[in-house]
Amino acid sequence: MSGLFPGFLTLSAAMFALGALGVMVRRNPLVVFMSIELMLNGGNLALVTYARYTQTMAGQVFALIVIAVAASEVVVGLALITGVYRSGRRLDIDDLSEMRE
Amino acid sequence: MTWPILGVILAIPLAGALVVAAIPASRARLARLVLIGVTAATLGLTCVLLVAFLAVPPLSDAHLSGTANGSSLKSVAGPISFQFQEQVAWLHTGSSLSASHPAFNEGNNALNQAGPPPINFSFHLGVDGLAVWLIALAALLFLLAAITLSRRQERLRGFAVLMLLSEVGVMGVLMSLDLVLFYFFWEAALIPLYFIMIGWGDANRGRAALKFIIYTVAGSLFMLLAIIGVYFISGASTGVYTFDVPTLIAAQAFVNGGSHSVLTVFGHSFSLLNAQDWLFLAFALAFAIKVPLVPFHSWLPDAYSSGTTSFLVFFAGIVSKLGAFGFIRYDLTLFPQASHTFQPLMMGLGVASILYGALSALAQRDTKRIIAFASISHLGFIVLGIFTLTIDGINGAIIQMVNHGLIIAALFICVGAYEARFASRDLRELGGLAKPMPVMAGLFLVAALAGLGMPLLSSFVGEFLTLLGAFQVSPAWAVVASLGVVLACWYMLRLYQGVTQGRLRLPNGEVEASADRAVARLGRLDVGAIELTVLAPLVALIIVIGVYPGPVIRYTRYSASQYVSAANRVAAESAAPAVAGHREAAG
Amino acid sequence: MNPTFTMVLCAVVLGLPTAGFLVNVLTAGRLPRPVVSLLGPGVVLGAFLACLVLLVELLAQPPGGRGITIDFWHWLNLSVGSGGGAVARSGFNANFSVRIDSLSLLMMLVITGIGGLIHVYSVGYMAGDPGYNRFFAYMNLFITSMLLLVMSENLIFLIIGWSMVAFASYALIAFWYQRPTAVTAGRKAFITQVIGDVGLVLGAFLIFLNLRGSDGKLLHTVDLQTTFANVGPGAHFHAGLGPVGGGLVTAIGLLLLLGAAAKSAQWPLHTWLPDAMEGPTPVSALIHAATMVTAGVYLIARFHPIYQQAPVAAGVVAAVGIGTALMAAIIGCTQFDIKRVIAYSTMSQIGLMIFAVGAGAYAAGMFQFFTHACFKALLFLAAGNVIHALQDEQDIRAMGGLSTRMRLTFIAFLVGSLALAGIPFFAGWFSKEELLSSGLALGPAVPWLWVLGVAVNVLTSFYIFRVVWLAFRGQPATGRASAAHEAGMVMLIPVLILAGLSGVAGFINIDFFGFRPLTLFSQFLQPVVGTPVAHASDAVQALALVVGTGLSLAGLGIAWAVYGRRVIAADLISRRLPWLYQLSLQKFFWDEIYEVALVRPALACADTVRQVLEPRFFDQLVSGVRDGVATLAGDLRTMQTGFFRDYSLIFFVCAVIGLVVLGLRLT
Repeated sequence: MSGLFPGFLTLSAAMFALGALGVMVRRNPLVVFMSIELMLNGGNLALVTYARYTQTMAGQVFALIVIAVAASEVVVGLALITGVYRSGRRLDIDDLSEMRE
Repeated sequence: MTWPILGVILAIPLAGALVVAAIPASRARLARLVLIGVTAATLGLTCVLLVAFLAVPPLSDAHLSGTANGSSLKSVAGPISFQFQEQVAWLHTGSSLSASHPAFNEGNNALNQAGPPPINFSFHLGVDGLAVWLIALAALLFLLAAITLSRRQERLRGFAVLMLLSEVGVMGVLMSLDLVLFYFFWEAALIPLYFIMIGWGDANRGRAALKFIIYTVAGSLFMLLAIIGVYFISGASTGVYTFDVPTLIAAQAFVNGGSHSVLTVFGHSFSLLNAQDWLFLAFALAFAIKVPLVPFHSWLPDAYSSGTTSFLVFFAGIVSKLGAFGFIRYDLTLFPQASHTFQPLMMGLGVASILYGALSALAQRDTKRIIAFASISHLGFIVLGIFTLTIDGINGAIIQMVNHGLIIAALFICVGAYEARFASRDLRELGGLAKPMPVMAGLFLVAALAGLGMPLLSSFVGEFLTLLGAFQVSPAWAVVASLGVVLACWYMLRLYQGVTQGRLRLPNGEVEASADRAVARLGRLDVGAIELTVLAPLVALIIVIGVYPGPVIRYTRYSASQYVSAANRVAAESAAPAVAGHREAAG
Repeated sequence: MNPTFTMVLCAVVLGLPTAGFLVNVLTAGRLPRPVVSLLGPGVVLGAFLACLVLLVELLAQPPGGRGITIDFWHWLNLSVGSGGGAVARSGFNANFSVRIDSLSLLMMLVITGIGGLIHVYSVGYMAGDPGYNRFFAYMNLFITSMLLLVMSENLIFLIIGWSMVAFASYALIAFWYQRPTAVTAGRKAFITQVIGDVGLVLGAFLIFLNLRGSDGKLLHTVDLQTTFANVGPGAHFHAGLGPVGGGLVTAIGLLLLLGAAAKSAQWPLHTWLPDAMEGPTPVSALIHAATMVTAGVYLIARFHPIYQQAPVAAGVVAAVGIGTALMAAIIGCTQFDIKRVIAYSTMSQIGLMIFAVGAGAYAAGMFQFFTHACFKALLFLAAGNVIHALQDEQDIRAMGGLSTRMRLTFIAFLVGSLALAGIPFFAGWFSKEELLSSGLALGPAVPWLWVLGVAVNVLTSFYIFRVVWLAFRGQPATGRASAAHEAGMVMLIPVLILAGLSGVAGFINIDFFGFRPLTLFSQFLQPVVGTPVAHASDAVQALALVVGTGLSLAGLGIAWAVYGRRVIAADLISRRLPWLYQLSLQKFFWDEIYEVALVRPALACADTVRQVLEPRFFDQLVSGVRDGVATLAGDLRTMQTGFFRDYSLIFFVCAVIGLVVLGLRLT
């Protein structure tokens, strides 16, 4: 079991990196959201891995909290995306740049 | 006094602000009446406070001057005695005993070793012979400002609310005995003042308000840091972490706090600034900006020249005194050693303000700017007096703080009255107005004469004592400062004569005969009922204090002697090494 | 002297003019004119009567007991509490108390007596003026202030009176406030006075902080009698104000001289007096002849115990006095404004008095003050009659031939001129000869100063008879001069009373070359100022008398030759010595010198502050902060693209950098 820890951590890092890349390069908000989920889950994986490694529960608890936060975040995000879609605009985050100075 | 009079004095304008805010905007007259009523009630209570304060006599002469055998030069005045104290715990996170104190530490785990000491501050109010006069002055000036406020003032309700809020702030600054509370009120007064400045006044007001806020906030930030510094450093040295001013003064945390590290260059020893010096300077910066002293003064002429008369009555009258008040209350008592270290610097700044303000006043053409620079000059006298660290000097400074409030308010009302009638503040456009407005000219003359230190008007005694104090410390500086008196005569006469004497002249370019006819067409111009109501008490007080300054001065002198002995706690100890140091340097 | 009775009288003396002032001010010009005409002069004459009663009371005492101090009020008592350390001082005490002795009473009598006559005269002179009530308010205030000045037993109240006099004189000089020249003149007078005030205040500080009793302890007092009692050297090393001729006492003497010079229009603070002639003529008579300008003489006579300790300061006083006397006399010879000639004459005569008190001849100086008050007020009032008759014409070239049209005024003016010039048996002759001869005996440098003094004699009689001939003799130069007629009774009576005084007042003190049949005046003042320490020998005095009188007559003769017979051309000096003529005509260029050396630099400095320092430096401090923040914000703004991907890229880059830094620190 202990030999697998580096593997889990590598996977976690890879998930996080892929997610980050997706956030940075994709233009469809839905895909960006999926990338964020990927990052969060990469983090979760690392938390759980360390929890097992140290034989404590703190990491597990954190992972649960992250899942809860991710869920609520998706709710807000999807609501925003739906709102944008219903206003008749394209689902392209480069179009949504009214916040620039 | 069994009831919390100070708290009530603070509560009345605060409640008044809420009431005025609730009045519909259309009923401006009602708002004005409520404003006058509230400020009058505040003044009434303040008078009760003053009477109650004066009913407690200062310690008897014999008590003060120590043993009866004439050892009057000994330092025997007691600690600063605050009366009517009210204290309510506000935020307490635990015992004020030091976290790093051994007794406290034993029971704690290692994680908390470097943890923060508890934060304790309380709603602690109290007055002494310094504050009580300024509180009375503030209450009077706010009432007069309220009366001066024109019924036709646009957005009157907003002005009234902001004015009452600033009254709360100003009173709070003067009453608070807790550093955090003091800082709170200091900033709280700033906000309504800023909004009044930006909302009412002439076209230049935006720029003036910006300058004011940049300056004062910059100063306040340093003071905030210094307050935190006082808390930690005094706590570390005495073991008691507190923001409470009487406790801090009594603890004498900085009396010998921090020795100077000495830097030796080519055989000359320079002592570097220690912690106390830095704290002193940070406080002094905030106060010097508020006063203002000369390098920090540039907000003042703009603020004074762009504000409305009503605003200037209390803004110029009392807000500038808060800086001088701070110097006495906080710099002298908390940092006695640094007060002596920086005495030459502060006296120098005072003299520089006197001369710079006087010279600038000579060059201005705008009547309000003349008064603004005159004010800088007068406040220079006050700071000079404070940092003589003599009883006479501080006593003179306290008297001058009150007098200057009265005089500058009267001057602004006069100049404002001319501006209201002729829509001009330019000396080149006005002249000879004593003819159509003789009574106004008479009142203006009294105010102007008081401004130049005429005997039997209020400021003579104050300036006399200030210069006497300065003369004891440094005759040369007293002589230079007295040049300011000569220049004061010059610029005050220039102002008074420019407006009231010479050829009758109106801003539309009419001179003499044609101006005469124009004035005749304008009908009755002389002082109106409201102006008379406002000017009469000011002029009366100027004359009464001038003719019989005894009662006021006796009480302020008692306070002054307390502050001097607070500031001089260190003198005996620091004098000896200083002399030794000189010898060393000479050798 | 009965203290209670004296106190009541003093209260009356001070209270009456004060009441007159207050009534006039508080009624704000609504008081009917007849009431003002009674009230204004009435209060002053009432005070004069009270002064006469005081005089009777004083003279009833033996000479040693002529002097009483009356405490009215503990005005300021600060001897409570004290602070520690080296700078602690005991408190400041100032009682409102008055001193009645022969010196102060003499001043009071002149102030209220001559002042009262001038008030009466003003009723006529100012009759048509719209500011009638205001005029009498200021005049009464002036009398009050002047009385306070001379009666005060306390240096603080002396200073208070001193400054109030300055204000009252300002208000009266700038009385016709719509004349720009009057306004400027008033301001100039006031500022000059304040310079003098500062000198007095600093002198008071030095006395207060340094005077020690005979036991060497600091006294901390500004009471005059205490000061004078202790000023001399005592048993203790530190007693008094230090050793005779020491730096401290000399400094005090010089600071007091600064005050005296400002008030008495002595060099270098003299330039305000000629300009002050912008005021109404009664003002010139009251302030600039009889009373205010002699306050400096009074001050130095009053403080003679200090000057006796400070020979250098006293010498400076004498030199300043005689220098001013000579300078003003030279200027007076070429002026054309009748009031300015008399003004320079005043300056010159006061210079002589200052010289006398500086040289230690206090009684002689005060005697000159007394006679001068009579004949100079007379000259001003007579000139006022002329000016009034000529509808405000003041140029003597526009007059002429007035002696037939205004006979009484002419006689009065002539008496005044004879007295001023020091022609025998008129008042001025007695006082001036006594002054010069007793001055001669005192001090080592004094003989040289005496030579200058008799030179003043020639000039004095020359310039005043120049006026007499130009204005009163010859033919009228203008239509206004030929249409002039005599003034009304209310203006003539005071003039004639003063003329009578100027004629005979000198006989009360005949004191030269051993011939002393009647020395009432010297005896009267003796308890206060003592007798001069030395008299010149009778022979020297006789010589001085003959020379002095001869030179006065010579001046009269020259004026007659130039302007009466016209045997000497009037433009002789201006052709032969043009520089001297210009120097005199342009008043030694002092106005210009001060303008260039003081006023312009101060205003240039002020203007630099306003136009350069304020906008370029102090405003830049603030706008620098503002611009800095704005620039920084502008730069940062460009990062705000609005593209989500940019933000996330920045975020991740920063996160990576942070992690790397963290990692490096951990390893």
